[in-house]
This record gives sequence, C-alpha cells and structure tokens, in this order.
Amino acid sequence: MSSLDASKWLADYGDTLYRYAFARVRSETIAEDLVQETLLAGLQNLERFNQQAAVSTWLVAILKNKLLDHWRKVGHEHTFSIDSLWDEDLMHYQFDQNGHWQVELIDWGTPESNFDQHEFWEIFTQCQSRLPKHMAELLSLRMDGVSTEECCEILALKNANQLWVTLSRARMKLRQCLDTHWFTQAT
Amino acid sequence: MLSCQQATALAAQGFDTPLSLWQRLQLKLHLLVCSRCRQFCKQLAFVHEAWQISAQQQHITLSVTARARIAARLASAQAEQKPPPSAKS
Repeated sequence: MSSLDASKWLADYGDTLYRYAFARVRSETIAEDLVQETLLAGLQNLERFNQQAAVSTWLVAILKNKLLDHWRKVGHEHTFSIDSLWDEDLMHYQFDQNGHWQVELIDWGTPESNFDQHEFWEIFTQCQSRLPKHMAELLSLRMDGVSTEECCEILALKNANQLWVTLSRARMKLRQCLDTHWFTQAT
Repeated sequence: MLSCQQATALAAQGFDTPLSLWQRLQLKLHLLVCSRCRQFCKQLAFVHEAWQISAQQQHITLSVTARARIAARLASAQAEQKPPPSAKS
C-alpha cells in the first residue's frame, strides 16, 4: 500500500462515510469527527487490513465501531426514566376509555408516491430531529441490526422491556408527526 | 378481543421483537375486523421503510472545510508514522 492511501480514502470514501455517520448522529460536527477518527484508525491499522475485503467495507466496519463508542459515551449521559418517555398527549387522545379509536385515520397512499417528493423528506427529517435523542439513537442502532443486549448496554437501558417500549413510542411519535405535518397538510 | 390501543401497541412492538404465537393470533383477529388498525399498521410499515431509506440518502456530502481539516490531520498522522527520510540512508 502506498503512503498516499489515507488521502485517497478521504477522496474516495469520505462522503460515503460521512453520509453513513450523519444519517445516524444527525450532527455535522460529530459526523465529521467520526469520519476523521475512522480514517485515522484505518491508517493505524493498515497492517490488519485484509486485502481480500473492499476498502470501503473495511472502513465502514471501523466507522460502525466508532459509532458504537459514540453511542456508549452519549448513551450514559442520558437519564432514562420511563415516566419521561411517556407522552400523555401522544397516545391517549387517540383512544377512548375503552381503548377504541376516537380519531379517523388518513389514508397515506403508497410509500412511493410520497418518497418521490423532495418535500416529504424535509418533513421526515424534521420529524426525526424532533424525536427525543435517545429514541432516535435507539431506532438507528436497531435499523443497523445491533442486538437488544448491545443496545441496552450502549444506551444504559435497564432491560429489554424498556427498549421495546422506547422503540414503540419512537415509531408512534414519528407516525404521528408525519400524519400531522405531512399528510394532514397535504390534503 | 384486543382493544385498538392494545392492538396498535402490539403492532409497533412486532417491528422490533418477534411476537408470540398467541399475540400474533390476537393481532390478526383484531385486524380482520378493524379497518382503522389495518390502516395504522400500514402507516407504521411506511414509517419503518422511510427511516431505512433516510439512512441511505445520497445528497449529503462533507463540506470543503471539513474535508480540508481531515486531510490535514491525516497528513500529519501519516508524517508521524513514517520514519523521517534521513533515517533511511
């Protein structure tokens, strides 16, 4: 390998790594730092690089580890409390005392008809950033296939049950936000 | 019979953890007769798909300043790693 590899990595894979990181941490500064740390780690561990693997795959694997470290660090800074996770306004107004719907649900149409619109993604990103931080982090981790146990450890959750509850609420919150700010506005 | 509130909670949970056979059965039964919950489930699947797509969006790139900063940092790290040229001779 030539000594120019690291700058070539930055040119070739910098954006890929940045996109990957940004989609997960939603902060330019943190994503940039993660890219830098990844490339530095790559440089330091060049001899461990398996030539059979693609450089991009290898770098993404390093980035994933850096991300886990990042979540570990910030995860323990959150104070998780099941009470603070519970949004009375979120679920309760939608159901009556017997747990039956008391609102009509809008037909959202097909995903494709929405995903093609640039404005949809603007709203979606806004809804994502409105999620409480720990919810967004947890959803990202799960979408990346990080195991239940590891998520609990990384985000300092007490048990798997708290994890499922948090994830469900994150999904519900996102649904609600899209419903209000995209679908209701659009009709 | 599950209430709609219970059914929607199960449906959301099902995205993250496998439901038991009994839970799946209860949910299926509920969805058979409840069009609003069917609608709700479709919307959850929509949200799930959108999240996955949003993680792969292509238009985000490193800024010029960030790129320059990282390049400089990499160059100095590489210089530290390499033995000085005089050491070779």
